[in-house]
Amino acid sequence: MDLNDLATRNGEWLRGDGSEADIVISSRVRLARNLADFPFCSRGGELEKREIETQLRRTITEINAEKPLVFFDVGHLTSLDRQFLVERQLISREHASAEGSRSVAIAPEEDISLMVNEEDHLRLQVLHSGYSIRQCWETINKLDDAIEEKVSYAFSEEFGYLTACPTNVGTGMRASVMLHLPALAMTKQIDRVFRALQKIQLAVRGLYGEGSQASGDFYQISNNITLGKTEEEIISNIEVVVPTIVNYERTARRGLIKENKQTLHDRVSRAYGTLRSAQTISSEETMQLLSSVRMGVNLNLIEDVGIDLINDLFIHSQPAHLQKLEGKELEGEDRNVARASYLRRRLAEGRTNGEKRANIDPSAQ
Amino acid sequence: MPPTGSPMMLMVVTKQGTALMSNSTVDLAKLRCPDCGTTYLDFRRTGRLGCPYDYVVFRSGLLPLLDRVQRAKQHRGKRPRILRETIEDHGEIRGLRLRLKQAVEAEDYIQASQIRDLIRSKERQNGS
Ligand SMILES: [Zn+2]
Repeated sequence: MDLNDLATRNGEWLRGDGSEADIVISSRVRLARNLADFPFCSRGGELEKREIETQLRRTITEINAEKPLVFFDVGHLTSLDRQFLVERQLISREHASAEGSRSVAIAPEEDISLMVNEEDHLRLQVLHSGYSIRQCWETINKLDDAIEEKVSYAFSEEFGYLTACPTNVGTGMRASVMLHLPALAMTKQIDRVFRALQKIQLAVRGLYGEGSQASGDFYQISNNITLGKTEEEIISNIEVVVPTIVNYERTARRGLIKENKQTLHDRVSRAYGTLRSAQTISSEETMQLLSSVRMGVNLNLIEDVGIDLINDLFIHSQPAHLQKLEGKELEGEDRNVARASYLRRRLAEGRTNGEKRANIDPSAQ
Repeated sequence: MPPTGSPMMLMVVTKQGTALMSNSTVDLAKLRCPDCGTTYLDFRRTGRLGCPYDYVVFRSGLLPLLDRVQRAKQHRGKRPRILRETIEDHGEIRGLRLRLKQAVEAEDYIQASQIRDLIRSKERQNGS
């Protein structure tokens, strides 16, 4: 597996299938772990970091002997490749920008990634398409057990798994789901949802962890608290709210169709039109327009393009992906021009395929 | 290395692994992890601890912080299936070893030999 092969595929989290996949994009669980006998990464010297890497790499290789993970030496990747891994959610921004010896082990399906020497010695991640937070937990729990058999984790009877930052201590667990909530955003109900979530100790972030203004109406909901609750309780808390939010979003979409169908149809059609004809376009505008088109496709307001292609474009129009697909480094305006041309081409191909499908369908009846 | 009589020298590691000062009010600002060198003030400035043992050394400062941020002070989740050692017992012997080092450096050989005996008896208890 090489990073250029990955660029042409759309990765696990935007595969676009799984339960409730029109609204729940993906589910993810992360665990933070540290080895007992080393200082945390911010205090560790280069020698210690290398030792941690050697030890964890050996362990990870041993336990995944049948389905090997692929290691990338993050410290030696170009900044473009590091950004590419961030866009695919395989490493964190912190891991990309950290210093010193660090690596990531990735499953070929991209559902597992293990970051070594991030803020903590080991950050495990399991990510699935659609709504499957419990399966993520089950997978990561087994993986964690297997690693734990071979290394000595820093653990305290009182504080649980010890982490560099006390906001992660205890379970060391962040469970999150990524939701696409364009109708709640459009009808300005989203803030009310967030306030309700904060009251039950859940945090809301944007696609790549940014603040309130979520790019492309993608919202990540995760547990705020890692100490004093069992992993089961953390998962259950999320399982209680996700169906409720999914229902709110569906209700808001139905409301828009019922009361403002013309306006909504106009909005998604304009978004689609802009994406098909723009000569230069920023990443942010692309995300916003794709978000409208995605909802339009889900509501059958746009019928000549498939949801897979739209999911694809969300990731392929990101800066590092675009540059990898174009095979060259592109800055500023050149990149926006390349993005617009890429979108025009893919959407034109998508329409031809869509029309072909439409032509075949009647004859099949 | 803190001089003799500094807060570090007063640190006793109890059975629970709790770092306590001989006087009940802990001067947090003077705390420094003997293992990684992180001070409590470093931690408050950066929000990051230096090593697992800091949870033992800075415990009295961490408890109110955890209570506020996490609304909890006690882990209830998963624990390692094969528990080799926790930071508490790890801290106990490690803490003694550090005190031994300090005593030797301070040329307090009487205290050093007492601590050495304590370490030996602990190691026998642990069966190692
Ligand atoms: Zn320390």
